Formats: sequence, structure tokens, C-alpha cells
Amino acid sequence: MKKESGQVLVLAMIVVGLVLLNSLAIIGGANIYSQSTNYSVQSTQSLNLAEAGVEKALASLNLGGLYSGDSEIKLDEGSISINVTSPNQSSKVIEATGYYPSKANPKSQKTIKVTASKGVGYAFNYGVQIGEGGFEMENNSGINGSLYSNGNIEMENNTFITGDVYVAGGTTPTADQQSSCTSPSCSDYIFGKNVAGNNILDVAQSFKPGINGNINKISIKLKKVGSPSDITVRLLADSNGKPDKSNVLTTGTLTANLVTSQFEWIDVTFSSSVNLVNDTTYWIMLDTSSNSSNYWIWSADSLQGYIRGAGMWSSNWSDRNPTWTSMLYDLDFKTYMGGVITHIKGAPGVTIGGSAHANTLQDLAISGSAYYQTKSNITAANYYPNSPDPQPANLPVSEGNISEWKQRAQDAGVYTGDISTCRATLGPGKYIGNVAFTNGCTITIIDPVWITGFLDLNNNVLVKLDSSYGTASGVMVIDGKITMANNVNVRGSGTSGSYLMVLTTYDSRSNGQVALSVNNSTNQGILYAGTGIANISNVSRLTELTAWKVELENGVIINYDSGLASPFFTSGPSGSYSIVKGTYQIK
Amino acid sequence: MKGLPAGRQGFSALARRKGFTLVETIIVAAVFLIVGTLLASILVNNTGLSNSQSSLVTSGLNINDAVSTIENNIRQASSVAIGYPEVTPTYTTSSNTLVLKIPSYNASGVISDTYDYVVVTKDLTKTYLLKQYIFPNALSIRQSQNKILTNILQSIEFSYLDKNDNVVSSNTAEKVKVIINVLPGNGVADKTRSATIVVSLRNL
Repeated sequence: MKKESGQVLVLAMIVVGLVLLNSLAIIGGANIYSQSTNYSVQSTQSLNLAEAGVEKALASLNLGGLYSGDSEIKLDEGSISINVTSPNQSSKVIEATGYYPSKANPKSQKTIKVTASKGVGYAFNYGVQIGEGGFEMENNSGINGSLYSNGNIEMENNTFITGDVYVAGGTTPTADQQSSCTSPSCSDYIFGKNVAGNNILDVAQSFKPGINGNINKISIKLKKVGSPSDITVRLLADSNGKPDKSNVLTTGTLTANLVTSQFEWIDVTFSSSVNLVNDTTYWIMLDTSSNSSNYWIWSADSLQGYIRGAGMWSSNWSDRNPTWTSMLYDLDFKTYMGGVITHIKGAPGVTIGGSAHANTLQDLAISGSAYYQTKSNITAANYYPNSPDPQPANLPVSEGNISEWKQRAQDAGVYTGDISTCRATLGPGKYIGNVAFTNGCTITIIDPVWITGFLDLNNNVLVKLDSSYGTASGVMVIDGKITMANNVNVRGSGTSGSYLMVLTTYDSRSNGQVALSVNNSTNQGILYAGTGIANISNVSRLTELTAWKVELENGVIINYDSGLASPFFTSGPSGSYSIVKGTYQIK
Repeated sequence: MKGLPAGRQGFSALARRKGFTLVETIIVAAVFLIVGTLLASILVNNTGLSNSQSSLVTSGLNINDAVSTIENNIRQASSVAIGYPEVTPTYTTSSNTLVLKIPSYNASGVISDTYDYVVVTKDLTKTYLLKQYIFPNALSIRQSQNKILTNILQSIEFSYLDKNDNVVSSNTAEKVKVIINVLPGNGVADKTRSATIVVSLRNL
């Protein structure tokens, strides 16, 4: 019996051993998990540091222009190294690496590579974008692709669109409410920075609609200093004479690229439709962050002539108890109401391959779903009555952008007299007169080019951007009409991503004359007639067409690419560097 | 005792050795029982704790890796594609499938207007697998991929947001919100681990 004593102890030792082993396994596992979680956090920190490095490089380039990078910059709990190279005249490649905690002994590191260029990117989101003039398709014509129009679509017999079709709810042509200063009572209201000790970051103007109905868009008169970011525009209800932060009715984005250094009216559309009540106070609020070198200026009326609203500012509108301070100005704005009925109207044999979205759908065979308020003689896979009207889409180029291009062209040189023969190069400069290039001519463009008369491109003419532009794009602004005969080609520098935009400012809205005539082209350029009618009179392939109104002649079929990522237009020596969209890479 | 015969002496010696009383035996048995029960209980509890902790660690590691991979891909995307291929897609973007369009690149950098496609989706048959496929363009040097991001997936949900965090259709999304739930390694359904990220598309 003596030999058997201590069995409990042995048993206990075994159990304690096992428990210890398990405990060690738990501690080990927890340690691994802790390390993994730490690494994940550190990895994200490194990535954010690298993005900060890219911002730092951009800021340095825009301040000095000769910045080539930094070996190591300490920032918070980590550090950044930046390397800037110049692959060509128009762009810089920025490689920024974030290290945690230091470059010498990194536990985590991430590198981001981007290309920056002096210029401005424009978003051409739709292959064909049409303004309030709408779209007319004559018999047997068709579109291979989708379509977004702010105006009515009229489709004659046997016409077709293979993709989705959107017609936005119609906008009343005149503003319902507006405040617009007149000299000498116009003042600059600076926001988006600290002004005299006040962080004036969120700025609001109230108004009372004159009618009940949906608000379709607003316009605000702005200019910018430096390169501030896009602004979120909110429409808020009123609470005791101040914007009600808990009652945001809808939001929109004010695209910074549309704003220049001169005051212009900038349109903002909203992400969703909202119904406003007559004589009720609402607030238009612009929400920015502080940046002493990149900020905004809103044109303001020091006489405060608008009696149905007032201006206020806050340093943080979304604070628990935001402080709103009255200003001694009315800020220049316009509100446009909806309520204009828009439609897609078909005829026998008319087909839409995708879905159709419009207030009124009539005489259509729709393969996809139908979204509408009113329908008449349509067939569709699914029916969605009472659907809200699609929101209007802003045109991708503003009046301010065009003015700036014209100014740059004029600064480069002014030439008077018509041009009617072929020449090897054109631009930069302002050409006072008409320009007609003869059959088979090849012209190299150095932008910006501004032609005050018309532009005729005869058969087989090739207009191309100089090869030195690399991935950058360029623009020709024509005040008169543009005519493109057979096999005309407008193209960029030859490098993928580069485009030449041919833009006419001709206004067809009152006289109904064609501003841009395209006949049988395989066009790789951007065709733009923001206030004009574009007439396509033969089979064409388009990369991008934007027009106030588009007409397709009998039997014409157009094919187009599905929008452009973000062509980058050079902005001349005064421009600032910004990131070329699509070049962000994590290495 | 001396006078006793040898056989009797042996019997007497045996009789003199003290045995365990019944009480002693019961006490010892009881002690064994109590101590044994306690030890067994400790062992069982400890093993259970060990299992659950290691499964939590496994699920934690899985979710860290999956989230990190998905986040990096969303950051680099130009847009959320309708599907892959874009015409008659095999994978269609939805609330549980994400198809991203990422700029292709070669030795000299990003190739303009050329895209690779990254698909993140739940496996159709083995629904506990979250898979990532990369379909590079012919011009791209990005490697094609068929990778398991986690093998303990419970659910994944993608939402498509605009700049102001409003829900929009996937092809106009500027941000993608991802909610991922994974089971612990031992498959206990009521102890799922969840992660949520909202990431902006940097190449939009």
C-alpha cells in the first residue's frame, strides 16, 4: 500500500501539466492574434502615412515645383519617404512609402505610387450626355449603348437603343428664388479657412420657395483660391432660424474642377428629389474643411437685398450644439424647381434593350424594367409606377472652364485672318476668323486653341494633339459651328488616355441651327456642344459626345465607348499639380 | 506466543496486521472522487477554454487578413463593375459579390483605359469559403488569382455608397461598405466575429 501512495498527487500533476499546456497554447494564440491585429493596424497606419506623403509631395510641387522628394519625414508615430520623378514635361510620378515606426526599423511599410500632372481632370461619365434640348432619332436610327438626357427623347419608327435610357425630370427654365448682387454692393465672402480668428468652414444661405414642388438644382456664384477639394452641398430644413443638422433633406456635390479663379455660376444637382413647401424656410449649406492656401470665395450681396432668407456661418455644422453666426450678406444663389413633365416617346417598332426611366413612357417595347409616373402603350419585363423622376445630370465643363481656356489662348498670342489651307501645326493662340482644313490634311495641335469663327474639317482630315502631351489632353474652343466631313478623325497625343476635345460655344437654343455636324466618322476625340445641337448624319463611332441636343438622321447608327475615366487637361504654367485619376497604385 | 506451533504463529501475524477500516476506505474513496472530479472539471473547462480561444484566434486572424486584402483592392479600384465579364457576366455585382475594375499596369506603369477585374464572392457550393479571383487584362502584368480569403465565412455583405454615404447603384459608387462575419474555427455559430469597413475608391 505504501508504493501506491501519492497517486492523487501524480494525477494532479498530470492535470496541472495539461492545464498549463492549454494555458500556454491560449497565451501563444492570443499573442499571435495580438501581433496580427497590431500588424493590421500598423499596416493601415503605414498606408495612411504613404497617402499623407503623396499629399505632402503635391503641396510641395505646387509651392515650389522643383520638389524631388524627402529621404525621411517623421510624422506622428511613423515616418514617410518620398521620391518624385519626371517621366515627361507634363507629369510627375510620386512614390511615397509610409513606415511604422521608422524607416530604419520598420514593423510595417506600404508604398503608394501615383502620377500627378499640371491640369484638371473632367468626368465624362456618359458616352453620350444630352442637355435640356433632348434627343431626336429619325426612322431606323439607333444607339448601341446607354443614354442619359436632361430633355425629352423622341424616337421615330423602328429606332432602337440597346442599353438603359434615362430622361431626367424637367427643370423650370427660370429660377424660383435668387439672390444676385450688383456692383458696387458685391463682396467676397471667404470660407474654408480661418478668417480673422474665425474658422468659417460651413456656410449657409436660407430661402423660401415661391411654389410647392421638387427642387431640381441650385446655382451658386463661386470662385476658388488654390485647389480646394469638392464640396458637399446639403439642403437642410430650418430650426428656429438656423439650419437643422438633424434634418438633411438631400445632398449634392459641387465639383471643384468646374470652379475657376473668377466668379461664375456653378450648377449643383442633388442625389435625390425632395419636395419643398411654399413659403417655408430651407437652407443651402456648403460644408468644407480648413485650408489656409486652398479655399473658396462666395459672391455676396452687402445690401442684403434678398428678403426671404439670410446667410450664416459655423465652424462645425454637425457639432452637438452647433453655433451659427449671422453674416451681413446674402450669398448669391438661384434655386430651380422641377415639375416640367419629360418623356421618352416611341413609335411602331421602337425598342429599348435595357430599362427605361422617365416621367412618361409612351409607345415603347422595353426589354428591361419600366420606371415612370405615366405610361401609355408600352411593354416591359417589370413595371414600376410612381417612380421618382431621374435627377438632372450636370454637364462636365463649366462656363468658367471655357473662359479660362479662352484667356490662356489669348495670352499665348492673337492671330487675325481666315485659315483655308492645310498647315502642319496650330496653336496655342486665339485665331480671329474662320478655319477650314482641306481634304486629307493632318494638323498637330498645341492647346489651347480658340477660334472665333467656324471650323470646317473636310474629308479625311486628321487633327491630333502634339505627341509631347503624353497622357495629358488638350482643347480647341470654337465660337462658331463645327463641321466634320467623311472620315475626319480627332485624336489625342497617341498615348493612351490622351484626348483632344473640340468644343463649340455656339448657342443653338434660340435659333435651332446645328452647332456640330458629324458625318461618317470614327472619332476618338471628345465632341462638346454644351449649348448647341449636334447632328449625326451617317454611321459614326464616338468616344464621347456631349451636347445640349442631339439629332440622329435616318438610318444612322452610333456606337460609343462607355465614358472616359477622367481625361486630364493641361492648365498652363499657372495651374497646380493634381493626381491623375486611375494612377493610384499600392505596391 | 513463543509456545505456539509454527502454523498458528503465521496466522496470528496475519491477524495482527492492521487493515483499512471501512470508514477509512470510504474516506479515501471520497477524497479520490472529489479530487478526481475537481481535476477532471479543471481539465475539461481548460480544454474547452483552450478550444474556444484558439478558434477565436483563428477567426480573428482570418478576418484581419480578409479585410485587409479587400480594403486594398477597393482603394485601388476605378469603379465597381456591373460584373465580370461586363457582357454576359459570370460574376455579377450584388450585395454578396463585389466586382472591382482596377487599372492594369505593366513595367512602365498604369495602362490607361485598361482594366483588370477583381471578384470577391462567396463560393457557390461551399458557402463557408470567401474567394477572391483576379482576371488580369492581356496587357497587364498583374497575376491572375483564385484565392481563398477565409474558410470560415458566415456571411458577407457589400453596400454601395456615394460620397455622402447615401446608398446608390453599384456602378456609381464612390465608396464600398463591407460587413464580414466569420465563424469561430470550431464552427460555433453563436460566436461569430464581425468586421465592418467603408473604403473610398481612390482611382474613381
